[in-house]
Amino acid sequence: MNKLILGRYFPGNSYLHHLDPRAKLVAAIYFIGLLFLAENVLSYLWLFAFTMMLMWMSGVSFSTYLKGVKPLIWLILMAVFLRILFTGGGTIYYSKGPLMISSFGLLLGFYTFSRFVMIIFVSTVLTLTTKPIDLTDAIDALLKPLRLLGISTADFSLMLSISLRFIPNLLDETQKVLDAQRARGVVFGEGHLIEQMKKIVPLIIPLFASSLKRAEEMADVMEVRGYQSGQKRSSFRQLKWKACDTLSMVIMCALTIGVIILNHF
Amino acid sequence: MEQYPILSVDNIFYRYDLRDEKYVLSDTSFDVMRGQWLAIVGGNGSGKSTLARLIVGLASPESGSIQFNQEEVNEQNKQRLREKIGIVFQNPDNQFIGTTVQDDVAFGLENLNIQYPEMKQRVFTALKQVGMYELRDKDPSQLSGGQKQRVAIASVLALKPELVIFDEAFIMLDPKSRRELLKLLKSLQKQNHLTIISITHDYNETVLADQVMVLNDGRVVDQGSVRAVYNRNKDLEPPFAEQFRRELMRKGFSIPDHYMSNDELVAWLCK
Amino acid sequence: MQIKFEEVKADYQLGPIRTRNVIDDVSVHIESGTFTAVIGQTGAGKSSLLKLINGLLSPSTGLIQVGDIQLTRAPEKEQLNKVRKRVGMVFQFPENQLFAETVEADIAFGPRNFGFDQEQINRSVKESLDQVGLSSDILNRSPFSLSGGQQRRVALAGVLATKPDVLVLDEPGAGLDPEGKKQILSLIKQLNMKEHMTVLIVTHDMNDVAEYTDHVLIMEQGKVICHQATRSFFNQYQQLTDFGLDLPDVIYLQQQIEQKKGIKLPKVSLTKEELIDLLIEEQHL
Repeated sequence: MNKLILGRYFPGNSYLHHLDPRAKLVAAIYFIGLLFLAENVLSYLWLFAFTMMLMWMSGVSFSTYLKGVKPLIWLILMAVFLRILFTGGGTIYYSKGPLMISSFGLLLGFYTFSRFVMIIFVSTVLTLTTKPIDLTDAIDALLKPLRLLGISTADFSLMLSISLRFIPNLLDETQKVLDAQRARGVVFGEGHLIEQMKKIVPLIIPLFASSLKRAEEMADVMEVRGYQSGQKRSSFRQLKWKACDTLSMVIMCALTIGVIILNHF
Repeated sequence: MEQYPILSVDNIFYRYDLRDEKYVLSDTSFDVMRGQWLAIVGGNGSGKSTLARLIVGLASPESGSIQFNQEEVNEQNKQRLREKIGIVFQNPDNQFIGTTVQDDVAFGLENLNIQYPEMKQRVFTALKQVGMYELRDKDPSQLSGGQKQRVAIASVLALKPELVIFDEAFIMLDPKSRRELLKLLKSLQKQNHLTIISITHDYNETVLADQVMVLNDGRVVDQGSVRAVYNRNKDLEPPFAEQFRRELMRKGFSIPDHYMSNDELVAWLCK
Repeated sequence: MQIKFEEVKADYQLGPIRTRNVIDDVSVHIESGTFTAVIGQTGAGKSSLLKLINGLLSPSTGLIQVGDIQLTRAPEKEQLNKVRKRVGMVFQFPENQLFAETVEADIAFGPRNFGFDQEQINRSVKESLDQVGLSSDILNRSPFSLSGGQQRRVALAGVLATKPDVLVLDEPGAGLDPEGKKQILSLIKQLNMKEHMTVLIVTHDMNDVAEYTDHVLIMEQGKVICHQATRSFFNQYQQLTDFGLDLPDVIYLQQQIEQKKGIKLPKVSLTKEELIDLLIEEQHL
């Protein structure tokens, strides 16, 4: 649980940390779209160089990013192999039935690999430099147009921020119940599958019971502080769009133009 | 001075389920005057917490009425009255809705759709009142239980209430934080002209109250000054000085048979 | 069963990150049959100290000895199993660990894990229920249907059922009303007196320290800064303010009397009865 890097925030003071979360979120989504626009090795390198620059700017060590890729490496390799094995065209080096290794396949495999890695790197840059709650605000802001359709986005973002708020509590509580049952003689992580599953019961039920109680109490608190689903709410958290945020949008445009030009070589 | 009570509970009956024979509250009536501090004591299952839920409108009585400022609390006006009646619950963690101290205090104001400049000012004022202004950027994992309860109090104060209910709000805290928070309450009662109802077992809390009410099995069995209530109800755990006085009396010393505060006891012992 | 810490340091490892030492060079000797209050502010290392005794946390350096069981950096499984059986651990709000369908099954959970046979289990369930003062007609009820105070006793019974020699408890009275708290603490005191269990409790309440314990252990930033008999600790009650601690009600009263009369009583009293006797002896009553 503690090894997961993707989705973590690292407090820092870099240029990226100071950008408006909306700018960062839009840029990250836009960048992922841009990855599908790249058509040759050169444009991939161009985007990769940009990714490296972002990672350098974040002030977080490169090895941290590699740790972020690690848990997903098998998934990526699997996708790459499927890509290679099922793509024909160009020089065919080997073939058997529907499977083959071709120069086209290798190239597409390389593209798939780079795309995955860059998606992970860029999302990691986003979460490492943006507080979860700021990210929630950004999502809320981006969803705002849905309000015109009568969909209550405020409830959704409130739900998101409350979930974020209680993750540390839940982890704490899990550790406590884990310790308490270990003290009563349970050895977790031992025995065959059925035994292991049985051991989960004394862990899950107390957590479930306390979460239920917590939810009830919180609902009361929210109600007495005047919360009603679907009401019009103001917001204490104010986002400020600054010049550097506009600049980052301009950079994204420049990046796009670069890709379009490089695609022609 | 106003003549009418700020809260008037009249003849209320309540049970969890209409099929239950047993009433959680039966024929409960009492008044609270503006600016007063009322402590409600009673054993487990006496209906104290249910009473609190009824007053803030989290549940409705089966019969009888609750009047706030001479206006009967009902489904239509309870949303509006909620700004005027605040409540602080027991568990410090479960009433922290926001991700940081200031976000949590702002939550109730956001619900009222109060605009940013006013909201900011009200959040900061409330935080200063409870001494948490410096810590406004902290998240709950960085706070002690006592600090979280201070934030909960600020969240209620930001709504500018006239009456605040403390439902065993300090029971999970260590004695030191408890004492500091009680001191804070006393000063809020004076400075903000706040009316306080505190549901408690702690004799350090009852001695600060102007009135004590004893609830037993869903009925009000006594109400009066601290002195009178501890004189009449010998099964309530009294403040330490009174415990000491009773011990002296049991041992046959000729100490007067009535409630003694700490100072009175010391004076008697040293005469 | 005696407990010995020899130059123990410990920290928590979170993935690649190591925290600073939560226990920093602790050497302490807790004698068999004592009742020790562990005092200190949040984050001083009280809970970690308890966990070390139970093997839930292992020292990074140093040695912990519980009876004849030795725990070091990487303890063996059998050692851990042995120590957890000898040391009963009651966490804060232990009712949060209840899970079984019936009270009986929940109390039997520990003994079953430690390999008691069915007959032993039945016997220990009955005995421990008796020890915590609950009647056997709740055995078939769901633990979730009980009151808060009852749930806490069931959780305590679940720990006592494994027949420990040492009992470590993290704020056993927290969140209970005065009556419930008094009952739980006197029950623990009984276990200490009658069954000679070695008891350690974490508490913030100086009244409880004065009334129930015979030793005091104060922690600050992972170190033990004071370990002495409760009476001699309170005898120098000026030092309590140095440690940022409250005076127990009875000592506070004694102090007020002394001030007002301009006298100094020869010793401090830890209970009401003691203070009355002392006042009589010194002819102030």
